Amino acid sequence: MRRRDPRIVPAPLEIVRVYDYTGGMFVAAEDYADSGLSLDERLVEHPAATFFLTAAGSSPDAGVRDGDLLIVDRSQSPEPGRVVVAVAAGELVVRRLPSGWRDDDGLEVWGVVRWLVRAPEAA
Amino acid sequence: MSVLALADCNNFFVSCERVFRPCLEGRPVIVLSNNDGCVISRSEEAKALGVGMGAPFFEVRALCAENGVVSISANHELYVDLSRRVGQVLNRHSPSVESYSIDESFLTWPDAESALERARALRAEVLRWTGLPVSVGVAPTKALAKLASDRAKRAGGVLSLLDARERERVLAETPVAHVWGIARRSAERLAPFGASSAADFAALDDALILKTLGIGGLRLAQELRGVSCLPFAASPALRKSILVSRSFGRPVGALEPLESAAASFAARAAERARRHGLRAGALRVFVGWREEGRVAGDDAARRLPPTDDTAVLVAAAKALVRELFVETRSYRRAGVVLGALEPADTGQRGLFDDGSVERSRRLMRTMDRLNAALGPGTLRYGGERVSRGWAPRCERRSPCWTTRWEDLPRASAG
Repeated sequence: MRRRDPRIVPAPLEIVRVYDYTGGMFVAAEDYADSGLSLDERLVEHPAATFFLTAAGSSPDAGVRDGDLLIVDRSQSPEPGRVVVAVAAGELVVRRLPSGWRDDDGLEVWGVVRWLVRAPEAA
Repeated sequence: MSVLALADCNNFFVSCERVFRPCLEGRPVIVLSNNDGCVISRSEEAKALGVGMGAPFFEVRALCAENGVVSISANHELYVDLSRRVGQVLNRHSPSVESYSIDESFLTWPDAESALERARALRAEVLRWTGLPVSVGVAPTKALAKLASDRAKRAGGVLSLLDARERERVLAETPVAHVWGIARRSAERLAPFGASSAADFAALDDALILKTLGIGGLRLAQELRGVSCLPFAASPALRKSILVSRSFGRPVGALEPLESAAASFAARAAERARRHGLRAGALRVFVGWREEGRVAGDDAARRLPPTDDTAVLVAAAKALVRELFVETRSYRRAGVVLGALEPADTGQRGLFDDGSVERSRRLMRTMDRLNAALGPGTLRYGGERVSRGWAPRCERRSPCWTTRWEDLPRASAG
């Protein structure tokens, strides 16, 4: 028989019952099972209109860095100063709308960037 | 009086592609079916060039090359996701929405008041939220709503046939063969009675219509007259069967790849059944091949204790393939049909069920969830698609922009 590595201690087998259809106490436990926080709930206000995109390249003006995950809501109205995905020369681009931007400026807005998701850089 | 609206996505597959590739806007674009390379969606520009719906690609290849037509292989994963989003927007505009096909839904509104404004608001919101243009037809019946939405495409996207005089004018202009549900053969049968327009058809004697086209024809005539006869099903009707079939990329002459194809189809069908909460009481396998230049086929079926278990359905499909297989044939097509469907929750628990039914159900749910999260076919049953000899040809397919993390669309910054 192989000797066990002393650093690996087998944990005692434990059977945890999370819920039980017949026991009232366990049913109560189940009621809380789904109440964890959901990022979807926080970051996706309109699921039908929300799309995820990846930023290619950086734009200090828009506060966007290469590889950022963009959470874009098409149902939001574009307003001056907001970061948006727009169509320029047939391509999707990330831009901050200038302060004097108006709806008829010719820049076709695809959707409003609601959130950026990015991992912190390693030191 | 309650009114019906039909929201119909324009050139749906092409429009889906354009949402993430705006450079395709204004250019002739076609989408081809994966298996046989037939044209299944055309942009207006491609229609104007004379590219026919359903045309095999090899027939229009030269025309496309000459005119710079962009041809794209169908990406149904993308289309299904966008269709789902359109459905969610429609639900905001009516308490009862019936999804009729991947790109068409009927909505009801309780009254005719400001129906046209509602239709305009609906169209604007679908376009803004999803990027997809829809045409909306408003009318007192389904057949008229369908006619209205077809004409709306050339009338700013929204058209109402609620007004009786307007309806008469449009019906007189519409050839009877263009009426929803009237096939060419039916139109030919109506010709001797002088019914060339939809208005002529609606004006025919009921007994004559009944004799010529049967009860379905009479219902249509009533619908065109403004009398609603086609029931509105707010909840989708129980499906009668589930079909999964494919043409093979190249002919299959051996048992093993044919078995693995059928196993794969059975697994897909089982997934669909579970998604709709259904169990199958019968399974049929069909195969097709060419013989002396003609299409030939064979099929076999068996009854099953109602099940939605992939393992059971895969085993049945493979057994039937072994019955059907003839060595000298090279198969071009195969399919699996699940029949005798019933809701999964009505089944009685067998007297001697040891809990294996519930265990298998949990396993199935886990499989479906993982396959949904990681891409179809991540988890497979043994024998399912071990051989790729039959896998369809897919070229120029777009990424799954909305359903796979590795395929997210890119937006350039800076």
